[in-house]
Amino acid sequence: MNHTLSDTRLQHLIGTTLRSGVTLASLTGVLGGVIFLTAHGGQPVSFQSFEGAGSPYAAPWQIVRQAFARHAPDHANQGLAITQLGILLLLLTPIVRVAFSIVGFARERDHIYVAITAIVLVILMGSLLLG
Amino acid sequence: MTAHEFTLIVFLVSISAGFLGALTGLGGGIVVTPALTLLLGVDLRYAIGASLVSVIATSSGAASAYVRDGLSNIRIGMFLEMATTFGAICGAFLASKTPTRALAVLFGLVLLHSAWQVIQARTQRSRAREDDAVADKLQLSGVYQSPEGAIAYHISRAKAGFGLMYVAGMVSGLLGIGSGSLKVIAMDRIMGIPFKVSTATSSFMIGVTGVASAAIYLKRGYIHPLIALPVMLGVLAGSMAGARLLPRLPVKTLRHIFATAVAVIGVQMIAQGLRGRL
Repeated sequence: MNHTLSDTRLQHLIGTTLRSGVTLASLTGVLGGVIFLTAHGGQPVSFQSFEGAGSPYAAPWQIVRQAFARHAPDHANQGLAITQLGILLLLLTPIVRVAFSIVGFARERDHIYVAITAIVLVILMGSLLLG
Repeated sequence: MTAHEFTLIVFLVSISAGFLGALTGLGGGIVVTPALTLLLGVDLRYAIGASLVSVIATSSGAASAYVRDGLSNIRIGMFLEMATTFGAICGAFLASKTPTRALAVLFGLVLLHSAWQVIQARTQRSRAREDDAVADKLQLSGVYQSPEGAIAYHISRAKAGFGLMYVAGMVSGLLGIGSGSLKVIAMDRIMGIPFKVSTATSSFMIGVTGVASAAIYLKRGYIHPLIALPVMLGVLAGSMAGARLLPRLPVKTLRHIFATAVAVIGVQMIAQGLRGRL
């Protein structure tokens, strides 16, 4: 094992990324949830039949735009969009972790693993952008 | 039900699911979906979307600890993630083409298999003495610290393990679960990786695998913020509490009780799926 030292440092970076990502995502999600429930907490909800999450909560760029909108249109709720932004942040966490790993492997000049990790990153980005 | 009541009930149910998932070692996702569908009547697609979000959160939280302890093998994880992420995307596409009642039956079968896995006594596997050609080229072998000192291990049948990982990814994408038990089977039984390293690496991989299909779920509208948020927070809290209490509980007895409960839930899922009620 000639790669233990830098592997350890890389592992620390990955561990910190994962923990902060989950924390940030949870806080953002709760913020949106509080905003939504304060305004609409009393309204009836039912999820017995599937209608899909609805237009501003499905595509990543729409979620971001709706979460930061100054004047949210009537059909959408800004609180829910902020919660969905939190979930989007959670989905980005493992992707960032994979990206960091590429940097780590590149520093070690471990070309095979740069390639392997890049393939994983391409699959994830493809799923997020094209899916 | 008002939005207030719904989020509170979903949160409480998810705490219990996370707790149960941690105690059985099955993970919260596999318990929360039947709880949402059978108890609260939530549509299966919303349930698996929320469950997958919670799986990614718990995996990322747990993996950060494993990574610090040096138990998970990042190279093995990365290599196998090529298979699991690709499988997960195929699974997520397949999920949108499969009738929910068929998904419910499949889910029930996976629950039964998981319960069986928990009850089964783990026997000592024979470990690989040297790396196979693929493992050697990719430097997959590693060392981990045990109470008895550093233990070096080797990897055999890397190709077969890779193939089963594709299946594990597909099941994960189809049902919105981590499919940790399939991942551990591939590493522990097929590739000969020590059990501790297998479970740690599996939990490290689950988050990345989950994201590959969650991105597709998101666009299909399976991830509703009002369900996904309380499920994610509840399962996180429940599984952290479960993991903390684990050393102080009579785990063996509890595991058998809970595994039986999981099996009963599995039968329920199959029955409801066959009747077309889910």
